[in-house]
Amino acid sequence: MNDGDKIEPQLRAVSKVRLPDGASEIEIAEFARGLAILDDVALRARRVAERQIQDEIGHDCA
Amino acid sequence: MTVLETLPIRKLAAMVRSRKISAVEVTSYFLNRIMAFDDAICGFNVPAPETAMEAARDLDKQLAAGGEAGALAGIPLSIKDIADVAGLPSAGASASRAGRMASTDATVVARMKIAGGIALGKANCHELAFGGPSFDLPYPPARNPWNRDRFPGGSSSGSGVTVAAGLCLGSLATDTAGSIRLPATMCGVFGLKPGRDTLPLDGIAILAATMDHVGPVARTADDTRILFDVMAGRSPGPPCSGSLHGLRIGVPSDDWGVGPLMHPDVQTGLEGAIDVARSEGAEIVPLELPSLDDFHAPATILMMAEIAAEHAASVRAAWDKFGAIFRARALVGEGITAEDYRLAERLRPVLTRRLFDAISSVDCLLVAGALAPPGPLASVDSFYFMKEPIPNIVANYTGFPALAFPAGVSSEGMPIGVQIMGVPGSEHRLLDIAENYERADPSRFAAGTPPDFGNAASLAFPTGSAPMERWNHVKPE
Repeated sequence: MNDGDKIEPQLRAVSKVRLPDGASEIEIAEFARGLAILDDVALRARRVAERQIQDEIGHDCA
Repeated sequence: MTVLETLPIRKLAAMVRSRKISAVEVTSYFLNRIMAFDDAICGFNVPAPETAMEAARDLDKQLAAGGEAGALAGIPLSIKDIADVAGLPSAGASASRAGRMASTDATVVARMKIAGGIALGKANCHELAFGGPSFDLPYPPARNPWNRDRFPGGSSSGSGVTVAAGLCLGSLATDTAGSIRLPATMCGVFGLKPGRDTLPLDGIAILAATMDHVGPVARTADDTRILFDVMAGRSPGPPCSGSLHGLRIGVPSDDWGVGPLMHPDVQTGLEGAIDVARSEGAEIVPLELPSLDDFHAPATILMMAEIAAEHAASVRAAWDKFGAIFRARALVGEGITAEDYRLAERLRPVLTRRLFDAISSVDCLLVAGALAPPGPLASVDSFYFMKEPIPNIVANYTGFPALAFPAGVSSEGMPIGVQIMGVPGSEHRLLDIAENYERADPSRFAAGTPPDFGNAASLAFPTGSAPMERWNHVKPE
């Protein structure tokens, strides 16, 4: 089982909690896919901040 | 009768002002085109023939009495359904706002009306400028006039298709991550996202509070200039009389990292724009920019968090009143942490300054309008805008102006476009550059007419269907 396979059930569980009862299984799966993509975007944004933080906003973020 | 749908706004408005043609004749002409063609492309979801004809009659009376009219005298317009037009529904293509009527005009709409513009109706769009293309909304999605099975871009899809199909001469659209420039690119017309705080947003539904912009879509650079100036509350300046000679046009030194994602036809269109500029005497300047992902990732975090803040509660309260794409997109941002949001916010001025430093030595930055030609309408990924870095959102994050315009067609005959970005306050420079491109090679850089959208008078109802039910009670004069 790779990391993606481990994460998917977790995201589906999170999705079921986040979405109201009316959400279909298809919608839950699509929402989980969106969460996975957004998690990746957030990780990329943190990396950008780490790179920029040294010379631009280091003091501000300390 | 003269073909009106390809006339420049400047010329048609002058004809109306001098009473060579009446506003009623112009309005009636475009209403006839809408009746003939709109069923095929679903560009209007709230037609307004009665109020349009009434406004046209009032304008003609005013001119007959010796009164004056502005830069948009008699010019037919579509208004994106998230912008308020007094007396018309304003539902943003969403069942969640069905029955909502606007009591006043958005400021930019009021300015267009004061200048003599005639609102023909509300243009279709993705649900609340975000959820689409969707097939589960009160209105079917707009279709690309160059191929009705293809995506017309969004979220201002109706703005793009109504202008491209010649159902109006200009449209009011909005742009939170490319929603003016994508439909302009994919429909083969011009779309300007002005700089932040350049045009007022009151009377327009909020999507992401700090990323939203309003601006025009039109057939030519000069038409776009006129609409932009009117929306800004000033008299339009003269058309551009310069050339590309001597301009410094910046290009990202490494395709901004999107080379592998770029469709070969888009690459060809972009290279064509570079070649034409060079042959006209412009200098092409490779620029070292922060990576596109440096902008895309924090900008997406900021946008998705703001959208969740604006809409998630409404979605939870009325689940069945929203389309599935809007529901997913609006709620997914709720998981963004305060720490990530704050980082994205703090990076904003840093990256804005870096982009400013990089492009302030050139007249514009030239990049693709979209990374691929329009694909099948029915298979657009709900999260396409989050998956890969796309150039469009950079201008929303930084607040810099950006203008999309045609740059040829793909091997399948679909429009290809480029966009130029500039420093704050450079909207007119961008419009001049686009007009110079248009003039240098109209076969590539001017808007074309989709083959099935010619003379409405000679085509009863080209879709083979009866005219729209919603128009049956109205007989244009």
